[in-house]
Amino acid sequence: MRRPTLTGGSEKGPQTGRYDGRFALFLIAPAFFFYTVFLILPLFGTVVIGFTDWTGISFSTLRFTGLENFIQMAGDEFFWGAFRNSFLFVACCLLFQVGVALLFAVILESGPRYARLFRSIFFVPFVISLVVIGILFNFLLDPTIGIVDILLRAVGLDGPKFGWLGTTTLNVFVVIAVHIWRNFGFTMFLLIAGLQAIPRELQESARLDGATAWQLTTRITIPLLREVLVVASVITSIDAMRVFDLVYTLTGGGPFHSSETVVTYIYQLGLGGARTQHGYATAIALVLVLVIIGMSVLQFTLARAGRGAVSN
Amino acid sequence: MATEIRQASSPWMYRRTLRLLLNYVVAIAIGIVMIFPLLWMFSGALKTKEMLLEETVINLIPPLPWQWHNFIDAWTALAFTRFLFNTLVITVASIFGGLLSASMVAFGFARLRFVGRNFLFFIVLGTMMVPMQVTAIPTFLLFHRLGWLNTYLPLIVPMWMGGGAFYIFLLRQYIMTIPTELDDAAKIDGCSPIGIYRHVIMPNIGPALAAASIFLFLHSWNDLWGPLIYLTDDNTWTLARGMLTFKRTLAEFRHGGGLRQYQIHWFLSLGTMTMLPVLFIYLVLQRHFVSGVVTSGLKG
Repeated sequence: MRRPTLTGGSEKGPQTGRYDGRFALFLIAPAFFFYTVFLILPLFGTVVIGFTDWTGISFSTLRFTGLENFIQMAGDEFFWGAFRNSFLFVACCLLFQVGVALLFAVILESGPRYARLFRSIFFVPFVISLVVIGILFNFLLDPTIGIVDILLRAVGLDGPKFGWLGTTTLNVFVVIAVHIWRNFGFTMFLLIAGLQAIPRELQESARLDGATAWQLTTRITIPLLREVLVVASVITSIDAMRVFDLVYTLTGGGPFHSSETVVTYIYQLGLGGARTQHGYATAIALVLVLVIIGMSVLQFTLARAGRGAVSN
Repeated sequence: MATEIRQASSPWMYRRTLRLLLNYVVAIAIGIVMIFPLLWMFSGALKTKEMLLEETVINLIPPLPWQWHNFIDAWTALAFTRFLFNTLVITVASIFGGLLSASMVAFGFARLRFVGRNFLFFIVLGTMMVPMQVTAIPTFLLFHRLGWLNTYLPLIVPMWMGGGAFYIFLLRQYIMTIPTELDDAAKIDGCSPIGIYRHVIMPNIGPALAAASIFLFLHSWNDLWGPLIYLTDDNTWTLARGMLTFKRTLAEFRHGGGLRQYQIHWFLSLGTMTMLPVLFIYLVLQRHFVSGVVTSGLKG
C-alpha cells in the first residue's frame, strides 16, 4: 500500500516497513524530548502568560486578566507602528528580495561566464554577523563620513539632514534595504537549487520548437519553479516578520519608535526595557505567531489555487 | 568583399556587443555594491581613528603606515580571547549535536514506517512557523528555573532538537535520494538498523551534512538574540555579544560631543577578524554546500 508523503517524494513500497517501531522511537524520541521541552512547552507558556498581567519572575503577583492585554494593544500606537513596519518589511521583501533573487537566479543559471563567481559574491553578505552589518552600516550611512552622503555631495546633492537612519519615515526603508542586501543571496540560492532540479530536456525541446529566451523563462522555467518559489516566499516572509538583530543594531527601533518592528517591541517590553511587562509582551508574541501562521497558510493556499488555475 | 560582410553583419554584431557590455557593466556594478561595505571595513581596519572620522572622500587603500596594531588594541580592549573561546565551544557543540540529532530524526522520517509518522513530520514542519522570538519569555523563565542563565547551555541544548526543522527537512530530502537497495544489501550482510544509519546513510549524505553544518555554524557564530537574553555576565559572552559594545551610534556620540572617544577603528578591525574565519569556511565548503541543497531538491 502506498501512502502519499507530505513532500511528494515517493515511498519505496513495503521494504520501508521492515524496521520495528521501537527503533524509530529510539531515533526520534531524544529530539522530540527536546522539542517538547524547548518549543512546545514554551509555546503553551506563551498562550497562558499572554492572558495575564505578569510583570516579573515571581508568580505571586500574576493575575489572569482575560482579554485586557489585547484591548490594550488596540489602543497602543507603538504596537500598530511596529506591526505596520513589520508588514512593510514583508511586502518589500516579497517584492524585491524574492523578485531580484529570481531575476538573478534565472540569469546566472542561463550560464554566463563567471556565474559561479557572482553566485559566491551574492552569498557573502549572508555569512556576516548581523551585529557587524548593523554597526558597519551606521558608519556607511552616517551624514558626514558615510559613503552614500560622500557620493551625493560629489554630485552636488545633500542627504537627509539627520542621516538616513535618523529620519523618521525614511529609516524603515533603509533598514529594509540593508536586510534585502544581506538576505537575497540566500533566497537566490534556494531558487538556484530549484532551477537545477528542473530537467534540462524540457528546456531543450522548447528551444528546438523555437521558443525565445523570454518564453522559455515565463512559460516553462517559472511554472516549474512554482513549488520552490512558494517555499522561498514563505521563508522570506517569516524571516522578515521576525527580524530583530539588524533593527536592534542599526537603529535600536528609534528614533521615537519610528523603526520599531514587532520583535524589537516585544524585546523592549518584555526583556530589554527598564519596566518589564511580560504579560503584555507575550500577548503581542501570541499575535505575532498567529500572523505568521496565517501568512504562511495564505501563501500555500494561494499557490495551490494558482496551480489549479494553470492545470485547468 | 570584406567591407560588404562587415556592413551586412555590423548592426547585429553591434547590438550583441552592446548587450554583452551592458550585462557586464550591470553585473560588475551589482558585485561592487554587494561587497563594497566589506572592502570598506577591511581598509578601515588599517586606518587611524582620525583618518576615519575626517574622511571626506572614499578611499579604499589605507594611507601608509598601515595601522596593524589596531587588531591587537581592539582584541585586548575587551576579553575577546575569552569571547572567542565561548563562541567556539557553543558553535562546535551546537553543530555536533544538531547534525547528530537531525540526521537521526531525518533517517527515521525517510526510511522507517511507524504509526503517526506523517503527523509528526507535519508538526516538525509546522514548528518552522514558530520563531524562537515568539517563545522568548517562557523560554527565558524555563532557563532561569533550570539555573542555565549565564551558561552555554541555553545556546547549545535547544539545537539538539534536530537543530531546527529546516535541517531535518534538508537531510530527510537528501536521504530519500539514496537508493533503498543499499539498505537492503547492508541488511542481507547482517547490518542492524544502527549499522545502516552509520555505514550506509551517514557516509552518503556528506554534501547535505556540509550544507546543514554551514547553516548551523552561521547561526551559532552570528547569533545575537540568544546571547543578548541569556548571557548577562561578560565571562560568558560570545564574539557577537562582545561586538555589541560598539553599538552606540556615531550620531549619539556626535550629539553628546564625545565623538573622539568612539573607537571606530577598533570596531572595523574586530569586524574583520570575526568575519574572516566565517568567510574562509564558507569558501572551503561552498562546493559541497551547493550540491547538498541542490540534490535534496528542496521540493516543498
